[in-house]
Amino acid sequence: MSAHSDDELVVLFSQGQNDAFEELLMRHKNGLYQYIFSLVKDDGTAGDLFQEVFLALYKHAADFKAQGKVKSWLFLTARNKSLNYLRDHKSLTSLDEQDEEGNEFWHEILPDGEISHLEQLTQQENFERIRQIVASLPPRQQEVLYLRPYFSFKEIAEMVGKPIGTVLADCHRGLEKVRKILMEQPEVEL
Amino acid sequence: MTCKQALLYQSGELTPQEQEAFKKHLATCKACQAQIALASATEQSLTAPAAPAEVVDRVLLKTTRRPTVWSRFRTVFVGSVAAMVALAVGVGTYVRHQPVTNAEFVMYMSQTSQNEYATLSNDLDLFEQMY
Repeated sequence: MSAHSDDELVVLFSQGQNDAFEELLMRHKNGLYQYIFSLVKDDGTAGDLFQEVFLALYKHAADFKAQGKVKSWLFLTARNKSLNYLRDHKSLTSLDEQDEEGNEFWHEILPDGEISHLEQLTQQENFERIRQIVASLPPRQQEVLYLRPYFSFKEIAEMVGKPIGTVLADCHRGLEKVRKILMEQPEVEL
Repeated sequence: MTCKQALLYQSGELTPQEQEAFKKHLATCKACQAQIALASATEQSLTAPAAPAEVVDRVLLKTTRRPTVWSRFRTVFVGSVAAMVALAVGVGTYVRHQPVTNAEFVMYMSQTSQNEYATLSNDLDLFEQMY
């Protein structure tokens, strides 16, 4: 991987360097594909939408202004295309549904012993279980958790068009559900 | 400083002063420690597996590695030349290994005999001159 920023790669590509486009693709392909898949839940559809996002970048690279927003643009374009697909196929599960469960702070509800047990469950051997649990969460909470490895809460709030407090609450509720299910059913289901 | 800031602390989005204050809170709040540990573990577990190679290849074939008109023409041209060379070699090999007819053999032998006679005759003339 080169030391060029995303903005620099877009500029290089718009000047004719195809290697720069390929590097952008390699840099973001995994996270972007996973994010699209988390929304549409189908490999074929995720592949098609993934292709559309990068084709759009390929065609419009010359229009980009260097503002450090290439990654945000990729994920936001992916989000819009995924939501349009779900809407067109009438399978849109609302990302706006409110879910008030899981608002409590943990020190209000967890005894000390349970906290220690939870810390043991956050070890690497339970990562697969955590992945399974996140995949079963409501769409809103799932979306925030899938975006977190790549964006700050502030960036996520801008992307999804919600206040940062709402995004934080969705993340908190999502983690609370992960905690509950992990404590109740820690084994991996095959 | 309250547990509300746990997720912002974990993502590094507190101001330096807020961060220092929360660090002190974290030292005594096991619940916040557990929440931060779970948030970190969840992030790590969601680090994306590789996108399918064929999906990536499709993008490349439609963008930077799209076959050009010349590259398609070149493929056809080189293929045609290779086919013609192979045909020529094959025909030549076939012709070279065909058995000769009787008439061709007789003509060859008589021509060979004449050449040898001429060579011998010249050698004898030379011998007479010398001796």
